[in-house]
Amino acid sequence: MRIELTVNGILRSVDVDPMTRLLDILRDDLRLTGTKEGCGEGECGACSVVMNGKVVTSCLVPAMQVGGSEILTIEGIGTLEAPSELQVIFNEEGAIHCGFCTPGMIVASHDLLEKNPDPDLSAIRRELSGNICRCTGYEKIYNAVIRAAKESYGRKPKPRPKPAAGGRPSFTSEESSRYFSPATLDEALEILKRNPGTPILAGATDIVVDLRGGRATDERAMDVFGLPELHKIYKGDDGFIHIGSCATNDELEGDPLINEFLPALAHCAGRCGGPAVQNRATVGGNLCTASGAGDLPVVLLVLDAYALLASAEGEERVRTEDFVIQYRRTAIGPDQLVKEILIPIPAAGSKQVFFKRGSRKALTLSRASLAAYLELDGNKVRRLRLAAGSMSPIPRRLKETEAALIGETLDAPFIHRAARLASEEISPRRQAAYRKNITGNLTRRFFEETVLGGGGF
Amino acid sequence: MSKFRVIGKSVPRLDGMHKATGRMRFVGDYDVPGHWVGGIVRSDVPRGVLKGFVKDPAFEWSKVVFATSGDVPGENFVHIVRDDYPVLAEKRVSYVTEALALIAAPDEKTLRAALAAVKPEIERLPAALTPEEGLEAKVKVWGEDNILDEYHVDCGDVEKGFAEADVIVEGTYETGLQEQMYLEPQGAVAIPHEDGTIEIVLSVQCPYYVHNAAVHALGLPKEKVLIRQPATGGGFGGKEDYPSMMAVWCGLLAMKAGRPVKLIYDREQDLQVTPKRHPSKTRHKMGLKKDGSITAMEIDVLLDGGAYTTLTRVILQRATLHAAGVYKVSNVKIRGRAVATNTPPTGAFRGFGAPQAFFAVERHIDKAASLLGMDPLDLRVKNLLHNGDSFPYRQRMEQGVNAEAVLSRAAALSGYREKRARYAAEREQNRRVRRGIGLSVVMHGGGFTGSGEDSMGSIVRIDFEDDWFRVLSSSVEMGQGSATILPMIAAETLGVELENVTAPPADTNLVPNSGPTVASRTTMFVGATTYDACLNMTAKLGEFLAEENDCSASEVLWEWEKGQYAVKGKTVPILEAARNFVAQRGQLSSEGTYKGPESENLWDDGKFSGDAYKGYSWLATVVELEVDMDTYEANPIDVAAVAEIGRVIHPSLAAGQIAGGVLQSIGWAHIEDLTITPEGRYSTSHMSSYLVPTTLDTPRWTIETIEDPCPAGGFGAKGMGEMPCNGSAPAFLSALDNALGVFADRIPATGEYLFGLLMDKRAENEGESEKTRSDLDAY
Repeated sequence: MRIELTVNGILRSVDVDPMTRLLDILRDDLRLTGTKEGCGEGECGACSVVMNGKVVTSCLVPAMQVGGSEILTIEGIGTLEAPSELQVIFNEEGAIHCGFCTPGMIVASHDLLEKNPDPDLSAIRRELSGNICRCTGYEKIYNAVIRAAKESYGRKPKPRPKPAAGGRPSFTSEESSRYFSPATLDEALEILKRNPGTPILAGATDIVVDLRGGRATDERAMDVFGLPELHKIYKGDDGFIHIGSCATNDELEGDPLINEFLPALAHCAGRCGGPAVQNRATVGGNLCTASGAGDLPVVLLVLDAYALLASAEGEERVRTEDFVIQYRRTAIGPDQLVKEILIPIPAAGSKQVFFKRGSRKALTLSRASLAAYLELDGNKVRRLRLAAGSMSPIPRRLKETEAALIGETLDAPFIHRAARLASEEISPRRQAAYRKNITGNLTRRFFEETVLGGGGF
Repeated sequence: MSKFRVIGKSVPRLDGMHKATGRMRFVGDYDVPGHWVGGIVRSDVPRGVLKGFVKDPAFEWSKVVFATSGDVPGENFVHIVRDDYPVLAEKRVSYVTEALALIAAPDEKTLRAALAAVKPEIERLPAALTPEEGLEAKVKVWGEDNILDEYHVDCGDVEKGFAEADVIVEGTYETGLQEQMYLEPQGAVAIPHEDGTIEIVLSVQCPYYVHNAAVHALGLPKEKVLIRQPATGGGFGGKEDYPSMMAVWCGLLAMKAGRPVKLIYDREQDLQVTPKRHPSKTRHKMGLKKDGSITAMEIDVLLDGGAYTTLTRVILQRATLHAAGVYKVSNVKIRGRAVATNTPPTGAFRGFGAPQAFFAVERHIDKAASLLGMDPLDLRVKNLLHNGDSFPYRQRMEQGVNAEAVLSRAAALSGYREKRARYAAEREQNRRVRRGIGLSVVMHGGGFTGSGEDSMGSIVRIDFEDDWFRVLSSSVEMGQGSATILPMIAAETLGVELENVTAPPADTNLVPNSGPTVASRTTMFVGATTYDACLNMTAKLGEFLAEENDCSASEVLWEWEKGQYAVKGKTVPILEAARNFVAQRGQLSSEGTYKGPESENLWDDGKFSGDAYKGYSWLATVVELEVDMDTYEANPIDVAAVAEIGRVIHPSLAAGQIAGGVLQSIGWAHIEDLTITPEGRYSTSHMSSYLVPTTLDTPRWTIETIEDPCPAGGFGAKGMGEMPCNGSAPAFLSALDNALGVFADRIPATGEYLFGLLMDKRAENEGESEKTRSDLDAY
């Protein structure tokens, strides 16, 4: 496969296998070894680069998604001979120790300052939470970013690279029967019709990890991440919010419509993975991976969402709970892809929430999660949906608890009972008492804080 | 005003811009034309007898190189502390992931195919996977009794001490495995040269350890083995012993293949096979008077060493010597043991046994304080060591003891007293988010334990090349800053600007053996050795000028402050003198050795007593945290750390080292969770499940240093690299006590563990008030 891409303002072309990682293209083919591999799973940030204006972990980007992209690496930010101010400041502030995380850290800091020239400490901590440093304790890194902001680093014009020529990859004739890079949704559906069961690449954050673990194949793939139709988020006149399946966590978190109507989804999207992963991970991908530890599906369950499946033959709507059938298995047909997620516009005054308990603050898989949706009729529960994640092979609704509580009056004994019922209804295989207890506590917190306290998140 | 020009200034590090621009080359960045890639066939059973290998005949084995123990050209062990660790297993297999055979292939794909096409045949035997099973010695993992090493410290009369006590406090404390998680995984490249030399480039802390191991295992003369360090992307002890294995494997494959071979671990392999911090179980028995004075301590330290010795012996020595903490106690009895198990050998990790020792003693002091109804701070202050006091191994400290200074400063900086009382009172209000604050005070002996620094014979050479003074040593830059610190010491001593000095990466053909980069010894001891080499350089140039000017050496005056010589009424800057020397005589170099103060109480290995370390650093850590009572998430909010580390050579690097080490220790305290599975494997090999602190898991920092220059260290510096790992885990748990009203005695203190403690406490309370609720659930 041949692709063209713009790296640090220079048009490059490379011949690589379609599933080669961007990291390897940079390091092996282009000999830009400033980008480091620390984990190969998108967990450490050492391989961070800016791709089309977003920070990504280059170990999770397959080559067939790179064609036509604009990539900025540490070498493009500044060189030993002509360093950028940010690089000089990192050194002067003592933000560099062993230097292995440094290129990724500076790339992420550069991107942060480009988008938010005056970040406060909490924004810096959030935006750098996907970049692990094991040496410094981070303080001097914050100091460097703060000083760069004071010196207006983000506001100063920098040379803009020319947009890349090229675009879609040119596959070899042998590859072209197995790898596809459609330009439109219709084309994608045609390809699926002719090649049913072709694995679909969205943000690729799971598949690259699965490939390493031998749980996926790189023999065939169709890339749909770049299809503009799949990134749209809009309010339909059918009473649904429509979310393109390739909307990224980052797009969900920042979207005004999602924040207005589906705040639990926006909140959840911001808590799955580090910023670089959020820039690539998609709602459709999270749903189709069908893992018990997926976070977005937990929220989709309580928002009563549907997957809109499309094939060349037509479209169909499937409820989330009917779509995710079991661990790593969905109801999708071999010729279908998830086009949109449809979420009914929540009733006025309804409450929704997503809580997650990971093992640390950032970038972590949930150990227990809970989503809730509630409509009240005065003091009485009109509608209630609860779902728990990470405690069963797939996320699940707590239907017994819901049934017992609908129609009841929301008061202190109600909350006590709700917490007990929720904790009883789940049956995690590991750490059972602990996770049951957390589930009960979070249920109580939802009613106490979100409903009675009227508070947000 | 400082009397120094360079020392004490936070200059930008000399390797900083190479790192900031991605120009710095790590081993994986080397482009080695024509190289093959190496891989390792490993055991999947914890114990057994290797019968042979089944090779799939469908695979074309002529395409690759396959090596077993029979192919090891020299002795089949990796020389570390003992010669017990085979390069490749012969018959006996002692842990899961033990290396059995090696493969080199032209590319990754072929390598993967080859690894999949070979299966070791192992007759499985029962294994000892836990320290308890190791101690039982039903399964002989190592020697006759599975005891890798054992040490005793005996001082005063503990029985008498316990008899004098008003209270006896007992406790057992456990710590778990911890992964170094240097950001750069282990890697090596071996290049065979036509003259029979093997060149090995690798991510390393101790080039001469590797050199020694390679000479023994590869059966080559010393001069035919060349070890070179590119940049090292973090070590924390993890690149102290293991690179010797990497080098020997990689070198063996390169020799057999007759071409360069790269062996670069990915993270998964690195996590699954490299040595971790020793798990520990420490029993304390302490006698105290009602006023809090400690009358006796009896301590039993047990470390799990895994299947082979690696560095366990010296780690155990340090654990044993640090076990009684920073307290003055007349009657002390300590037993330290390391037991072998059929698990991957544990090894060096920053702190080197001291973090486990301090976790136990600092927790135990908290427990005693609680039983006596004293604040943990007061109980500590009551018993701290001061100048003139002795450690239980009979080292009397005449000066440099600063435990009280750091502790009182940290307590004041953090507002400890007021907060400790307030948070305890707030506990009763049953808030959803509770706060807690806790502290610890620790020390760390700088440099090798015992006679190590004196017997080591470390050498540093200074030469003058391309108009640079070069500091040549085997002390590697791995992030801690030695490539800046040693040139600072040289620039200060030679009277030149830092711009005139450099420290090239270690290369055993170029640098003398200044010892390994371990034990917090580089600034303190290699710094002092650098100073000596610089003094010899100034003397040599002085003699040269005397000859040039036809006068006696005493007529040449070295004006250190100005970096110049005064001779016969004229002045000669040292750079000019060096240039002239080189122009007339060729090479200019001088060597230095370590010349510390003489000890009158030399360390005695047999008695395990005497002056164990030439200088001790001190650190008080106060941790303030929040616990979410719905999810049992503990999150550090503020940390105040006050350290006394002798002269601070580079304040910014020192502060970064302190914050980084404290954070590693906080991670160890609550989120870095690694165990041995029933199959004998590490429970995870992914960064998605072995979690280290991110920016969001990091507290606000208040870090201060107090200076009390130490006569034994370069410009008065003491060792400081490891100490930050000694104190924050117990302080973190003390803060949990304060927040939750429970006492945690093991780490990692995960949410599940805290939940269990709270449930136990509730059951206890309800038992006392004779309530009959059968359901522990809150609802």
